[in-house]
Amino acid sequence: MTENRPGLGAVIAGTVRRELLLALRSSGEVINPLMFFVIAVTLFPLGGGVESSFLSSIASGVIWVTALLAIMFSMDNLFRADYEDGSLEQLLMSPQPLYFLLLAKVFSHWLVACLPIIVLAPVFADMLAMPAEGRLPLVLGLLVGTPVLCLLGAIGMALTVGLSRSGLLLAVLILPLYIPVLVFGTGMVEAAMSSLPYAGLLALLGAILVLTICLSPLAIGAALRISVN
Amino acid sequence: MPEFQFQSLSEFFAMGGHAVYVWWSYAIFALIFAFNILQPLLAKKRILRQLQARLVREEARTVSGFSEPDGGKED
Amino acid sequence: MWQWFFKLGSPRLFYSMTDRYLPWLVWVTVFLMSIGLIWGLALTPPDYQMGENYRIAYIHVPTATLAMGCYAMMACFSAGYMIWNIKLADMIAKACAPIGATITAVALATGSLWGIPTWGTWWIWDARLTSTLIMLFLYTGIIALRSAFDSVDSGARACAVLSLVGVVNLPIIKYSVEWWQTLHQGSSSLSLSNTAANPPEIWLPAFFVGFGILGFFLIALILRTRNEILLRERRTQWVAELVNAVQRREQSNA
Repeated sequence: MTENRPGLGAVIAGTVRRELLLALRSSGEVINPLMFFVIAVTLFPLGGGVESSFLSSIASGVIWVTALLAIMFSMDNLFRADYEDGSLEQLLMSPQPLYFLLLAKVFSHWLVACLPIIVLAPVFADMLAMPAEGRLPLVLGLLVGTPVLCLLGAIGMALTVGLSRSGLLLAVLILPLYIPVLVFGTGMVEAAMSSLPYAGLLALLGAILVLTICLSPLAIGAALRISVN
Repeated sequence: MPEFQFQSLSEFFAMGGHAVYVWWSYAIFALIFAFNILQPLLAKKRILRQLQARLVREEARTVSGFSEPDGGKED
Repeated sequence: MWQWFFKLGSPRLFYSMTDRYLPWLVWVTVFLMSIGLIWGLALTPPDYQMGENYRIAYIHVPTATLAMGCYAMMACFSAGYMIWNIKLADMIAKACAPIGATITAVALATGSLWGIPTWGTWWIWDARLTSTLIMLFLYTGIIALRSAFDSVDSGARACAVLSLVGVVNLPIIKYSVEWWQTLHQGSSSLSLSNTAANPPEIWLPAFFVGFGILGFFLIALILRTRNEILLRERRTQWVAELVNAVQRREQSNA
């Protein structure tokens, strides 16, 4: 019986393909987080002023915070539809290791929701008058930090997906957990802007990413089992 | 042996010019800890009243031969 | 051999044990608190730098420590609930959250009041204040999550997962905030818990107050847990008997 089962690699590839296909069919999943990011970043110069000295002092914080919020709001796409049509239960009952299925699901969400933001981030960094030496650490930090945000957000989403009136609950649950990534991510940019080495901070973010990859699928799985019951 | 560090009671209440901060700190501390003790005590009274009412209802039901279809999940 | 362990998880046993020992705990707490408060407020010499203001530290430092300890305790009981499915562990974890949140609020308020004369402002983005504020957020998240569930069991499990996730994150958050603060603040200003070099007449009353506050916390925790036991075990015979006994006592008093 086990002979007929597809290998782990095929299952992961299949999950990623399914998720990407579903996301690309409903264009909102790709566009909405990106548009939220773009619009929210635009609000800051409008609300705070356009002097480049002011903008450059807040640029890294604005980009990181809006990216973080965009990712948090996009988490709803991750499990909601699967929960409603019952495929989440199938996922939990599948004989394949849940750990890797969940990682594949979160990875494809990251590809859809975060990668466009990371690509556009340097452009907006320029618009916010961030000095050029901050650009590389910003992108590197986002590349390493946003998967952490997706995985932590998935925990919060898995806990609240069964609730009909979850509303802002997700934000209350997971925003405090986002703080270390925000601190180290913006810290990298600031270090680079005052010409200090930022490799250590990138390594710290990487360590957080490894820890999150190791542990969070377990929490997501446990939380999904609670929500599906 | 420790002794009273202030010349008079009024100096004690003045706290060397820091009265506002010291006494407000202790007041907030006392209020919130009192709340933490009193709130469950009041809640217990309410819970016991609810449970009593439940027992009375159930007795009335068994006397009249009424059985609850949902096993008494009404509260 | 493990039977005693699971027997400890019996809500009924917890209820009768606390019935017996709670008065003792109350007396010990009152004793420790009255000695500690009088000593700390009136009998210790003022600090040569901060004057009388440092007397806030006698309640601030224990509450701030307890705010963190309470979170760790909640996570331990949550883990106990997840691993062994001990219902009592979840009831205790549930009782921890609101008490922990209020204690964190006390730590924040006293820290701010201490800061007004020391820093010249009631709030600075100091590492300790900031991480205590984040701790308050974590507590409110757990309270909000539990209240969002209709089913007791699902809420309990969801909160257990969240508090375990939080306890893994807590050291990372604390470390990141401390690092962030050194980046933004330069040298750290006067620290409250710089008590290592202090003589015994300073820290001995802190010892009394600290254990007194721990006693307060345990009393509040036990009271809340007992209420939770009554509510969740309301269909059992022993709770019905207990309720009847209370009723009889009230009637004979009236």
